[in-house]
Amino acid sequence: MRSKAFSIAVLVLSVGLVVSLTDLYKVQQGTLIVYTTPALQSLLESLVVPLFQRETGIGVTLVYVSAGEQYTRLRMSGGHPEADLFLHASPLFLEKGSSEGFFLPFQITRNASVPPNFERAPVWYAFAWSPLAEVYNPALGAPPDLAFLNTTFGFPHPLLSNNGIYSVMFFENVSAAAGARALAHTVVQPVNARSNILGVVDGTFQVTLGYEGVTLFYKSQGARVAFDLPLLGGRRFLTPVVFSAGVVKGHPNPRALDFINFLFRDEIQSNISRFYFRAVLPGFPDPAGGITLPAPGMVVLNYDWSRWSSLESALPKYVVGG
Amino acid sequence: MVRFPFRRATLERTLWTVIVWFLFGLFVLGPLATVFAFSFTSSVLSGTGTFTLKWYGQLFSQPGLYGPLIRSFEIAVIVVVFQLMFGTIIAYSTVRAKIFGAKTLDTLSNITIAVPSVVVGLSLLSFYGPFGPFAAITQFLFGNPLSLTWTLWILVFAHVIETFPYMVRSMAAVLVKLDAHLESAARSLGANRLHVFLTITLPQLKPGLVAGSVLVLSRSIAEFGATIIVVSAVLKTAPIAIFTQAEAGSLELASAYSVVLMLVSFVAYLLMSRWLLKGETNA
Repeated sequence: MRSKAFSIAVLVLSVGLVVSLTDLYKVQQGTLIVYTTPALQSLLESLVVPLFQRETGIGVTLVYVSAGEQYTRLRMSGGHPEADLFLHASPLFLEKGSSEGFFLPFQITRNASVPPNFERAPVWYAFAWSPLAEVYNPALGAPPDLAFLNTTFGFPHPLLSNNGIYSVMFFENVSAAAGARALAHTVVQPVNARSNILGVVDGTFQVTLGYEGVTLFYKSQGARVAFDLPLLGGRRFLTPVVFSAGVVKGHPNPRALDFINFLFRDEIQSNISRFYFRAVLPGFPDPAGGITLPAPGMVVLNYDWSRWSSLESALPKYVVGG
Repeated sequence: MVRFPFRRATLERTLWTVIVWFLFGLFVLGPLATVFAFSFTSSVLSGTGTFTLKWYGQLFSQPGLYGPLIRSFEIAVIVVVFQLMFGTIIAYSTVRAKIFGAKTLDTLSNITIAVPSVVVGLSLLSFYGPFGPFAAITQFLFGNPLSLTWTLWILVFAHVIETFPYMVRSMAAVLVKLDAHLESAARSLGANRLHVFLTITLPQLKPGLVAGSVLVLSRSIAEFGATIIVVSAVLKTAPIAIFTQAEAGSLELASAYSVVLMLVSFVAYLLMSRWLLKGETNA
């Protein structure tokens, strides 16, 4: 046991233990944690986070789990939350969390520039948006009218994904009968906006309701899908998917609000379209290859998110077998 | 009459070899080789992807991506050190010290092999979480509830529980064969307990310590089920990162992670076992 190898092993393990503990504590203390959605992965990882880290020196960890799961995680923390911020595709959990005391009221520095349909101060502000799109297999030729849907559909899981929440919102506000028809044709319920589009790409289902931004992202990678504004009863509908930010109550990192304000800077807003989303502040370009807006005869659905509880109560009936 | 150039036994052996290697390739090598191939493919989804190293470039240039690999090894090192003490004490208590309930403890030390790892994670979260007994006890004792939810310690505990049987079994196997007469002889010659342990017992435990450490290291690096329940976002380990990337549709990046994890685990395994065991034979 007095062998050199054993002594070296003991030394290596001791040094490893000290270095590991020190590093892990450092990482835990100095990192801003953002609960977000896979739909925003490219935008955040390639643009926002590197610029923010370069300017502030603060490490940012992005957590991609479904909104419902993240909200549960927040509730389980018992007043000691892990997350500083929520950046999500729907304000439902921000509204709900705010009413249940899990989020702080806040105001961004450029609040005056944000159009009214993209904020509900002081609960949340949207920093990017994307039209809800009917995404389909190009072999179908044209987007099927959802009122007469006769092929496989991928209804995103309404309790696990914001994409599902938007789908429910769309059908509940336009035609619950069409929603029931879509659900009857659903073969798989994707759990996030990315896996939803991938379901069309890999042929699991022929049609879904997804985000324009995510669809464009996959098209840029060579995925064969087509999309347009959802068609129902012969009319096209524009439903803005609002990517919104909220501040967690009792959040551990004091720079949380700085990160939100950073999202509204010109260098971020002007580059959002490069990542296939649309800026909320006026005067910045739309993504290349996106749906041309306004489309002739389109109907705009701007949802009043203060009515979140009635939307939430409708979600369970859109779970297959639920 | 046609004469076969090979004997029947050779033919049977060849056929058997082909079948076994085919099955092994289908279930083990094939899937691993596909992950390897995907990690060098520009776009799996397009179906016409070309050879690229960009996923590895991304993996090693972005702290958010290579961080989980580092985290995995850091946590594994802590767990190995913890197990070297804890696992050894349990094995020694059940095999040599024969404490009361030694047999029960010995049986229970295997329980985490039978219990699904996700259940282990949930039980830790329940026990050490803000609504569990640990918070209630600390509230009663110190007037302030202590919760380990999303901390480093609950993650380390999860890995310790999951790897616990590997260290205990390795140590127990060595302890059973340990020659107790050597210790008795040393004691009769005046050596104290600590001296006997350091100079007689510990050297004989070395194969168990090495084997247990290697198994614990490998198991901890690969741990997923309990980790995904208890891990904090900043302490995300490599298996969780692979899952996240695959979920987000980045199959290529998830594959690159997997290849790096496989290679590093394999090299660590080889280094640790060969180096230490070589040291033993040279000693």
